[in-house]
Amino acid sequence: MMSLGKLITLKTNDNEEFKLDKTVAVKLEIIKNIVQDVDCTSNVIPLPNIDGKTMTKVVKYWKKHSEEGVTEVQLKNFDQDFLKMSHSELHDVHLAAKYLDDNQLKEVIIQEFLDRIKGKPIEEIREVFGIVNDYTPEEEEEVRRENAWAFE
Amino acid sequence: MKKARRITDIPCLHEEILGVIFSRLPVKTLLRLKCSYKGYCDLISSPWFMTLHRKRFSSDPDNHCIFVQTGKINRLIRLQNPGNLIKLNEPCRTDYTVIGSINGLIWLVTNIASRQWICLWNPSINQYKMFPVHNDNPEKTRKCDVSMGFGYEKGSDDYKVIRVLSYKTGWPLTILEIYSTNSDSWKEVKSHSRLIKLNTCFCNVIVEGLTYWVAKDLDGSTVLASFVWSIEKFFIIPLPEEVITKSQTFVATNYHGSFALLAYSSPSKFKACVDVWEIELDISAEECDWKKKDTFHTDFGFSMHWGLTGGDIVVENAPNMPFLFNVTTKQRWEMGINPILSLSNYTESLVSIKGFRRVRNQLKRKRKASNPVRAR
Repeated sequence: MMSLGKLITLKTNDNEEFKLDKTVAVKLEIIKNIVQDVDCTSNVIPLPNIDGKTMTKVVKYWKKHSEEGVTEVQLKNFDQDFLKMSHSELHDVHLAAKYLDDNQLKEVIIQEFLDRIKGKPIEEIREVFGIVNDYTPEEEEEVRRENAWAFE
Repeated sequence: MKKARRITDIPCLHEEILGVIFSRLPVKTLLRLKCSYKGYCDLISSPWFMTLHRKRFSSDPDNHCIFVQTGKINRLIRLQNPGNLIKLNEPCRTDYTVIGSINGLIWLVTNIASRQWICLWNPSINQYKMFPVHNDNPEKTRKCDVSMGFGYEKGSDDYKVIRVLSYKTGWPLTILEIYSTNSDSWKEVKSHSRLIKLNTCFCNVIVEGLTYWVAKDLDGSTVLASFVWSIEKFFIIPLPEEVITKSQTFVATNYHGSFALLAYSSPSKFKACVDVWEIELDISAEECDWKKKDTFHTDFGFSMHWGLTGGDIVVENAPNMPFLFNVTTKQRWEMGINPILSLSNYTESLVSIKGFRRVRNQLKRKRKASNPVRAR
């Protein structure tokens, strides 16, 4: 069993350590489960799927959102600032949130992705998701003809 | 298949996450995305995504629309922005009747060369399917009442049509003609028992795939009849006692996404009181239970009203312009359409059925016709 210390340490796959107040950490399903299930004497929880750079962001988000007396407006401003990151960083945070089973953070990221692609032409949407057209010109012509309706 | 080259260091988004993001996008954007990358085409065309999109998209009130028919012009109105009447590329000429809408599909009936045709149309993906009724002239030998209904059977994911032929004499007294889009064929169920009398040529409302009529039972009392597709039988629903004793006028409608009766009485010309009744149906036990969900008052009377998925109502009070009325905020919004011949709740979807064809571009052709090239 874990000792009843106030701090929990999360260790990322590149060996960066994050000391977190236990009350903050156990809000997360996955950490709660690890705390309960794993025979862990060192108070260190390994996070093999997350790197330090991403975890820094996640922890920043958790800390702000569990701050006492923080107002809605402050949180909104914080979120706005927090989400100012590249598409790929956003994607990494989403994967981390998914691994940590943090639905709130997941939803925030999904909304940000939606805002980024809203009303954008296809070419820019492709850029957000980091892919390029893989149709041959003939195939593209055919699929466009089938969906011509959407381009009118 | 060639793999996508990546232009950044982002690994391809996990399909599940991508599905969640895409499920909130409008159909047109999705169709465009299909043309941008093969993997997206596969994802967007997959049954799990189509179901996810239908559920997610229709649960967001921002996406609720109504399809309104008025004489010559038929329009889609997005409730978020009711001032903008969306033009439609219609599959048949405007002399059709809209019966209702399910999962983004609209059921229409039209006459072509003195034959009745049924059309299932998805305006968002611009596809439709049209087929004639089963029996051209059921009244050839014996006189009968004809009524048609449309619905959706969830279990088998099948869109269906029923035409009820009720004869006065002879055998059989009742023929149910049932069409299934999955099998693309009609079948007949004949019986010697006399059915309830369906009051209208078409079902009154379709909610959640269930099909409802206002009808008269064999004693002549007004009841509701719901056709249960899975067992191919009518389920008779008596009206709430209070609606009968108060002799209220009512409409059967879709209200907040459920089947409901809006029963109203107007003590004066400028006032009305509307009771909202919701029903719990237990089809296997053949039981139903009415509950009065809500009562609201208005400072106007009306001749017609329709309930909407989002909980608003549309009110027609001839000769004035019909308007949208928000029951909670009491706000009114006059619609630029008068009179309303039919009104259906509608949310766009990717739903496609076997045998769907592209609708030819009528909007373009009309535009061309109205701007004829001047002869030299």
